[in-house]
Amino acid sequence: MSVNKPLLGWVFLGWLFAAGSLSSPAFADEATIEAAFIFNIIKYTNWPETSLLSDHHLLLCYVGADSPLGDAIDELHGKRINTFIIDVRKTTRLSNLGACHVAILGKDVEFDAFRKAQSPFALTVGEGVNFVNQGGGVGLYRLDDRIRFDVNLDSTKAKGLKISANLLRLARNVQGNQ
Amino acid sequence: MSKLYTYSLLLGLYLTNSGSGLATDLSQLSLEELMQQEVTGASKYAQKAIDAPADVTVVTADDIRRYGWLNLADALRSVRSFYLTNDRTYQYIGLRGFSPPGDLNNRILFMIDGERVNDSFYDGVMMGETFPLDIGLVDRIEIVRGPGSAIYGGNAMFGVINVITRSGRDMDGTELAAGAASHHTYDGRVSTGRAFSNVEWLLSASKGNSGGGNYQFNDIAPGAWTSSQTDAENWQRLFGKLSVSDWHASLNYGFRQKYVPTGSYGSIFNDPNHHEDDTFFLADISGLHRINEKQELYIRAYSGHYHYLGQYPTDNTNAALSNGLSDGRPYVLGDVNVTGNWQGAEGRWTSSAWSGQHWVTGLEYIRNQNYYDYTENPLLPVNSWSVQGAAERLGLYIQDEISLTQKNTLTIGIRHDRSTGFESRLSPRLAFVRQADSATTYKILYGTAFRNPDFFDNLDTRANNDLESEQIKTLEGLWQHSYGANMTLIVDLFENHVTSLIQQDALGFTVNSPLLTARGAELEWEARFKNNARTRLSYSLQTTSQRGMTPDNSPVQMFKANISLPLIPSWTAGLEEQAMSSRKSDSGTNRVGSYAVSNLTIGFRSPNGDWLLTGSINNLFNRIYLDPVQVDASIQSYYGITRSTLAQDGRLFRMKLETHF
Repeated sequence: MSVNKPLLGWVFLGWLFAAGSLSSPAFADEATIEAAFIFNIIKYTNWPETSLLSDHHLLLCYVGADSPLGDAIDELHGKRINTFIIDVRKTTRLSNLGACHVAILGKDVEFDAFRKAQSPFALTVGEGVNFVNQGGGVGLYRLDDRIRFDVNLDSTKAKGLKISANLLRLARNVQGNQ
Repeated sequence: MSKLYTYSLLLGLYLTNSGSGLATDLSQLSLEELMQQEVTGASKYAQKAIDAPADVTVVTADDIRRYGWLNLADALRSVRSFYLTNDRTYQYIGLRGFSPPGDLNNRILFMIDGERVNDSFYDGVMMGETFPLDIGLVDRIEIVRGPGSAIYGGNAMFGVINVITRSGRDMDGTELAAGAASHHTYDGRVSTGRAFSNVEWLLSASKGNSGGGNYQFNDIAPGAWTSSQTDAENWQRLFGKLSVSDWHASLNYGFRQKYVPTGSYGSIFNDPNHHEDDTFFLADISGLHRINEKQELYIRAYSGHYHYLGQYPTDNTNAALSNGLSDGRPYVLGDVNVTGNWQGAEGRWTSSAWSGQHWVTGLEYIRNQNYYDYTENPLLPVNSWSVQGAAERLGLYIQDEISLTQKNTLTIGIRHDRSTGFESRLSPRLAFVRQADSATTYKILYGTAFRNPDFFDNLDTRANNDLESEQIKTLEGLWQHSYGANMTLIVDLFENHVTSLIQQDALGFTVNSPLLTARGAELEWEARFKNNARTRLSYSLQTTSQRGMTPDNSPVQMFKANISLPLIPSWTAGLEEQAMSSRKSDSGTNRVGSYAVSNLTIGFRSPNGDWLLTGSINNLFNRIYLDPVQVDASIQSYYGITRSTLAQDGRLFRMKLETHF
């Protein structure tokens, strides 16, 4: 066998055109942006000392069936943030949420069951404008072509979480008092 | 422990950095920048499939639950381009009109977590319960159509199927599953997995057996029913994996025993001693070294073992059956033992150090030893036959994905393979992907692949001519368009040219066949609705031609529909429809009719997610349909009957219960 001559031509052509670098992604989907928001929200959240693990892992739990957000969350696994290493746990079972620092609710899970099952110190994150009205911590949703978020301070305070003012400043709605 | 997904080689190599790069980039953005980021495009896997320089489908664990699939064969039946054929011993995969009866699934490369599982003897993997991984351990199945030899070397002629296992991290506890189905079929699985800081593990054992069904084979025994014993099936599997930091080890064992009711190879009809057993074992260890932010080195070593035992009860009073050795004994139990052992190592370096380019370079070495041992009659050593052989293969490949502009990507790849006893081969690949706007993607793909004759092909010494490698060249064009965030349409056109295809001719000799060509068009529509309902519809039209006619078991049209609907809270319904036009058999002289089969699955998940119950009815309307099978030469000489089709299962029931603690 020998290499096709035309192919070598193509290879060369490819080289000629190989130029330019890609900076920011041309197209980003809703779930990927939401996952990036969650990553940033962790930056601006303080958990109670007693909840922190000695190996510096921060448990980021997603509960629910496969979904674009669940897939996007996967990409955060192993990333370092502040002093933490993010440890993503995906489950369909509410009983697995006991030690989670962040509990993200999939669209297919009922909110009431989720609220009862979550860990005592988990920052709850969900999709949709109603998430914080129901008592969730941070709600992400799409408004026109951008992602926005609301925060429910009554919910986060009840968990002993401290949310930085820099985050609250960018929230579209903040419920409750600091 | 980070990025263990890297051993998802398919996404790592084929789908390269395109999708995974997105989240990385985005999470580096500040909140203020994120607030400005415009929402477009599709989800991660969809995005990866869109960007991939290939035609890719990803099946997820969620799909498996929604439709109650029992094994990989069930899952593949639902996927565009694929179809399966069952001869009641094994199941065989067809793809884009190619599934010649007698083909042993060796023109598709199968992988578990990116690790090759095709055995060294037959070069294939049998479907159904023979696949060595339990479906309950599947996280997702990545299906890539088209030639993959430019990266993976031999076998990857028509496609690559990579099964990614669930992580211990996601399992986080112990899981029990139990199933019951028609024909006194019972199975169970126990799995446990966890992750602690940089250690992660998963261990699973499963076992099942089926009492078997009762069938009629009116060609060789008019009016008679087989006893269920002759269709019994037993299987067991073990799977384990352990990761410590960036080191990873896995173990995979599978055994499946199938009793055969069909009287194939001229075995005595309705005798409960005709069985064929497959044992598979694979162990590997791998490590990932991050040289810096943009470069990685991956190394792996593995060892595999495959064993086949076939026992055939025959009647030696008939000269036609016992290879002319009619020694007068009415009952002889013949044995076929087949063993394949293989060991290999590979190294791979990926780099995106040069801007706008993503390089993958790899070196792979594999050696195998194969044994074939045939004892028709233990008392007559003259009538036994043993052969063995060893071979080595060395492959070197390089691929570069070049971002020409923000919208256009060119992928160039080439692999060089050297194998004992064969000419060395070069397999080039070229792919151009244009993401015209946030909703529309075009792909033009050209690829080649080859397969050397495997040990089994070369066993046929009667042919007395040197078999050449077979080769495929594929040209494919794909257009994908999203309508809003939740609806996607795919149109695909392809052309395959297969030269020197290794097949048995009409006399049963293994030879290189004349050119086979296939042209086709495929259409797929997928939608996801707000209430969690999903649909996927696909239609395939293809014309395949060899020697001026359509080859056997090659449908011109296929239609598939998968519809999943939420019912009341916690309950879902999954409906599948699979239809196929008629197919030829027996070198075009016979034909099986078109058919449509419907499957229904109802699933319940307890509100806290700890319990999962599914019930399925397969072939809901009890349709009668046939599959083409290889003409059995022994049946032909013994009974003077040409069998080239077999009836398939009617309505079957299944239930499965899963719990976690």
